[in-house]
Amino acid sequence: MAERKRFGGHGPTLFVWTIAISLGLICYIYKGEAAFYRAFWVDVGILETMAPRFLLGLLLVGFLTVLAPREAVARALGAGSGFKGLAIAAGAGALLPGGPWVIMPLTLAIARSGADAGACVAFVVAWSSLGLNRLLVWEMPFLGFETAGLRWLLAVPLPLLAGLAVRRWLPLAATVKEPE
Amino acid sequence: MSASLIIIIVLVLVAGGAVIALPGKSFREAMRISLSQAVRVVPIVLPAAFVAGFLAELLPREIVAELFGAEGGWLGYAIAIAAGAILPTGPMVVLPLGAALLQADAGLAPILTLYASWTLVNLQRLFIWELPLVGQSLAVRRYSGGLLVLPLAIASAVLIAWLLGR
Repeated sequence: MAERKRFGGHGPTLFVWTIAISLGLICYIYKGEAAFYRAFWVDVGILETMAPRFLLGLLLVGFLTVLAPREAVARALGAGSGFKGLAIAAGAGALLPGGPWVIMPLTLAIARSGADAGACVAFVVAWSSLGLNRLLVWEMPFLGFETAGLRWLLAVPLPLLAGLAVRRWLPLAATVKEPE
Repeated sequence: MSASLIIIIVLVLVAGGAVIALPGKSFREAMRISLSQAVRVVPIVLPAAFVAGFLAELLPREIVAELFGAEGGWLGYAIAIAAGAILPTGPMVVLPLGAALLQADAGLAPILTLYASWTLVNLQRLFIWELPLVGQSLAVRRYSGGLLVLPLAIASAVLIAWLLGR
């Protein structure tokens, strides 16, 4: 992939570091030292929550890549897997808990094991719009049972439609290559 | 311990147990894959965690709430979509904000529109998580898929507000 080549393959890393440091500086300059440290400790808290899940997620990526036979994943989630493949990917996305630090490495793992872009899109969109953990822990308490429940039900078609649209208009079979 | 952590631990134990127990599955190979992933993504995830808090500090709730204010009609929806796209990733900001705006008499449909935009076309998720971690080809497709279904999600928001009479 082209973006791996730039900056000796460290482009994305440099990009995120630049954003983080710039935001920190802007925060310090415009909002003052107290606000900077308040945000900094919020970030440390986020890191604390995320680190164990992220490390476990990485272990899961290795285990699942070894466990899932390429041909079986390609059959279940590949370009020829049809609506059923999208539904399986969406179901998995809705069930898996965790932030992007868990879901993104897993997306990479299923892509590398033979899932097409449509299935990957259904997986990520289901995680972000149908995640059961977020529904129970965040949406129901803050939006109320009725509103959150209705929102969830009406969002069920979204990952499937997004996956179908990508398969139809932006197909991509061999998604991600093994990192060097 | 939170439910999500317990679920992940159970998944790791089951998958790890299966790798060890099943013949022909190499534990060493699994560790090699996990380690090569870790080397690539840990340097990205570390600063990404710091983006969330600084961005939340720089986008104060009062200003976002003011932007909504009593603005109705199409402008309200446009602001809702834009706010959902730029708010930080993480339910700990967007859901309390949505609840606070509802308390302040914002309409249910624009708030659900904001939430739909946040779930489908959030920019921080795209730039900080998706592009660096899954690569351009997949991230662009994911974002396009989200954009395509966003109108449907907004229609759902209007429908829900109508159904609940809010």
